Amino acid sequence: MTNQTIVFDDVSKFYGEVLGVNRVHLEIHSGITSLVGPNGSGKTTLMNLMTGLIQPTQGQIHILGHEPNDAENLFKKVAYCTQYDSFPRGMTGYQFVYTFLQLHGLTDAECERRTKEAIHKVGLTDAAHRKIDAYSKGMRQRIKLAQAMAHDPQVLILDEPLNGLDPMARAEVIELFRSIADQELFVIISSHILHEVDMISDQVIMVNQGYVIAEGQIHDVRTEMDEHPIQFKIRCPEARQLAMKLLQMEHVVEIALHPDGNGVSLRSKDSEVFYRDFNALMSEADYQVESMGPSDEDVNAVYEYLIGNSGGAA
Amino acid sequence: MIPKHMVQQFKALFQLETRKILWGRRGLPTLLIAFLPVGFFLLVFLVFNVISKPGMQQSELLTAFATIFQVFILRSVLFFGAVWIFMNLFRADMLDKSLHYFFLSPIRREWLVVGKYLAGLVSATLLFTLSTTISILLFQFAFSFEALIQFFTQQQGFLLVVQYDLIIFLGCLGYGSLFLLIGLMFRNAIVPAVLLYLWEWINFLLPSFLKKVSVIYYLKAMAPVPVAEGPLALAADPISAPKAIIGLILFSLAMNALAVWKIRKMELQYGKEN
Repeated sequence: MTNQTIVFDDVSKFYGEVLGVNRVHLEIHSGITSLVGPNGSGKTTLMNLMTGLIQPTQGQIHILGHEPNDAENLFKKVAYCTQYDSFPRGMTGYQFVYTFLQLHGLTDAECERRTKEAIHKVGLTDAAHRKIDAYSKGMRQRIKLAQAMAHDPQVLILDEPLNGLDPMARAEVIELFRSIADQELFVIISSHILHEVDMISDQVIMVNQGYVIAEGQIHDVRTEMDEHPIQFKIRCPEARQLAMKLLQMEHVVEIALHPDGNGVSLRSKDSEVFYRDFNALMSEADYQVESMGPSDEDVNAVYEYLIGNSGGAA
Repeated sequence: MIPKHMVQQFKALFQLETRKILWGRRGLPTLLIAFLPVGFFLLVFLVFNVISKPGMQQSELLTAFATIFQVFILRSVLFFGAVWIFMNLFRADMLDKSLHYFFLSPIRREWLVVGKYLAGLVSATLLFTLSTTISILLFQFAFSFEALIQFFTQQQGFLLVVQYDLIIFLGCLGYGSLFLLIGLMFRNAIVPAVLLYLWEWINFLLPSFLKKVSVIYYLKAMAPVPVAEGPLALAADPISAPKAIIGLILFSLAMNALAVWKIRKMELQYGKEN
């Protein structure tokens, strides 16, 4: 355990007899980490455990060297933007961010400066003095983000942060996460929308029915799945001839021509060897290859292979 | 010496809670309950002029007020005022699903209990002592203007006002800590509140050792004007005012300690989790 990582050491959480998460061992480093899994898989439980909102039934958690129940020190460095779309009643966006900054023990002037800065970052300056009750869902999501980020945390934990945001706001928020992660800080995001996760994550943690079923960079996780040969898609006008050549490669286990006759899809047991052999083939023969790449190396495909279709992840 | 940032945190928490108690959605019922006695005295005595009977003595007047104070102000108004204010200190945040914002702030949970409780105590004491003081003045004034003057010049009226306000403060201290704890312990806190209300009401019927398991027993011990409890009342062991004060302080400390224990263990789950 170091003071620069987030560590789950054999953590289990049961709600009575219902399993929340079981035997979780994790070490999370800086960058954007996504918790991926269908509803009810245990993503929020992991986040709530990290922030002390719930206690583990067994095991230990350390966040940058602090235990989750050490609120006084932990939340100087950590912020958690929960999935709850709820706020203290009657507050304006400005009052909301300002009031909870005051609980950090900052001076009034410092609170004012940080509140304005955080609200500006999420693009709500014009609406800052309106009651949150009158905000749209997207605005509420953004003011929660502002509140979470206002004290410049090292670890930002966000439960379904893109929910309710329109495409433009999503792009802006993702950009914001990227800029935070680029400063060697931690951004931990939960999502069940896999293509979004794929776009923004440095690493993923896949959760299903309370178990962590895979973790790491998507490419690495995919490469380790021996039982599912990696699928490649090649677009090329001489597809038939190319297919004949590819079939001679030992590691190619399946090949199919595209219906338009201008491409092939194949599966290889060893992607590294495939890349090497494919490059060799291209240097020997003059094929007009328009595109080539893996077609099932995204989070969606990996997740589907790992849990089948039962997970229901979108 | 308390660190500066903790003072700042406490100040912020105190201001936030006081605002919630006195203003907005929760503020109106608080004010209505607190000033119910003032409305009552205004309505009954000024409009209907019920007690302005010639020949009534100041001592009778003081006894009449003491009875109303114990039966109406202490047992009902203060009781339900404390239920509303203190039970909602955490309960309202749970119902609004906004308690997590406090739990996710760099502030110790025990400090949260202390901050919220003191905000409740100061607000409740201010409101209910003000209401009681106005009620005493209205009561005397309703009898006659001369009675009001006499109350302060010959009957040690200031001392009586201070004594009643002290009882109010100690009532807020005791009931407040109890209802803060109940608000943390029960999902539906109304049922235990009603049961406690009945328990406090039947206190005069209880045997001596059970009387002591109540707040009203200690508050009554400090009453400046004793009130007869009727022929059915069972005799109680007398307790001196200083002992009653110490008892209530210890009781509130114990309730707050339990509240701290409870909140340190509390897991926050408003509903469906993913």
